[in-house]
Amino acid sequence: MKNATQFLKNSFKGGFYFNLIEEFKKNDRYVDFAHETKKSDNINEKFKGVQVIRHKEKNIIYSISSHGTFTRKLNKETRTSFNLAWKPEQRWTPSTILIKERKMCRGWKSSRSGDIYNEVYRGFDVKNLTPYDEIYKFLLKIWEKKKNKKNKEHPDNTTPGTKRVQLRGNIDYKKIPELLKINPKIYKEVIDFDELIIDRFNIDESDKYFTPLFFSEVIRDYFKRNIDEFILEDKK
Amino acid sequence: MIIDELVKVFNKSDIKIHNFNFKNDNPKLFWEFVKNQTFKGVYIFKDLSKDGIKQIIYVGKAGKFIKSDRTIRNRVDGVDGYFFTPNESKNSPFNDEMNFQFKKFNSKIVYTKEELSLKKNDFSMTTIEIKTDETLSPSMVESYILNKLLKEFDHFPRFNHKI
Repeated sequence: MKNATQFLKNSFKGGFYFNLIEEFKKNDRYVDFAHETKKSDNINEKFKGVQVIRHKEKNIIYSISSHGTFTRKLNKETRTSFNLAWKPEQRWTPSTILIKERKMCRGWKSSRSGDIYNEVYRGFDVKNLTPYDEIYKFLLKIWEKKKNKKNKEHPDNTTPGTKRVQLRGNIDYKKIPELLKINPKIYKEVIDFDELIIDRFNIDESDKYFTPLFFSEVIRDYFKRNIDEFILEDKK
Repeated sequence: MIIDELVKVFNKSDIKIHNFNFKNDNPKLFWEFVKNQTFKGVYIFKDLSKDGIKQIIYVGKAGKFIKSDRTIRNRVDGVDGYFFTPNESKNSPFNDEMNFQFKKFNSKIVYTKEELSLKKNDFSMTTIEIKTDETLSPSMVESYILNKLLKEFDHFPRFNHKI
């Protein structure tokens, strides 16, 4: 790969994706993460680059995600290292991967799954906002922890709809594996890692040619152009 | 330079380049240009007082890989856009000093009025029209340009906050 332009040109050729894997393998910059989790319990979760989750046998692409962006600070200076605010495993919606359990879960529904979470862990009925006093106290704590407290966001001033959104959005991802055991319906689909390949292309700050975002966008467009070959479930 | 490379990658049937700068002081010409950007693609704002690639101060996108209603016109124009509309400011897109004035960028970063203004002859806008559906996405073209700027020219456009 000479540069970003060559990479882009290559993406219009057949076999682009699998050639890319081979190239990254040669340069020791590729792992099948699903396979890695089988080999060791001691998995380093930190990851910089692009991750593609796909079915082992069917050409279904479940997810394409980029991890690592160069950002500008509030004082307008640019950061020279990636902003790694979250690890790939720390997302719970719309999908998540559970490394210890070796599972990928898809289809978290904010209202349905969020309500189950609130009922199990907080004893809250989100739809009816009961018990109201407990919910109020909980939302007040969240507001008080905010650095930039806005009056309009104080629970005295938010609508019932906003309160429901806040309750459904405040999820501790660490509780997801346990909740999944209690109620498997929190996700639409749960797929075992043995059925998956998780392509991880390592791209860090020092990469000569690529940012993770650009790399992932080119791959995404490639899958979208080749809908005869791939089924793209990631609808971004 | 980057746009020339992009043009070479794609066919003329896929993309088309449009340029605007103030050849005279008529603000109507700017709004006419914006009004004609009725397609998806990428828009680039430039500060011509800078040299070469450093002229690029912002890269943005509008629309999707598939056919959609989002156009550059309805992304940059209007009350949520980058400029004060003629309803918001009598000299729009100029300020009272008759310099070109940006209203805001989609970022938490706070810019002063001075930082958001340019001498009108220093302002230039380039748009990349994506003419075909289901070939390439505006977000991919935008990330290509930002990737090239950062990795090959060590340039992070002044008003972009994420690459």
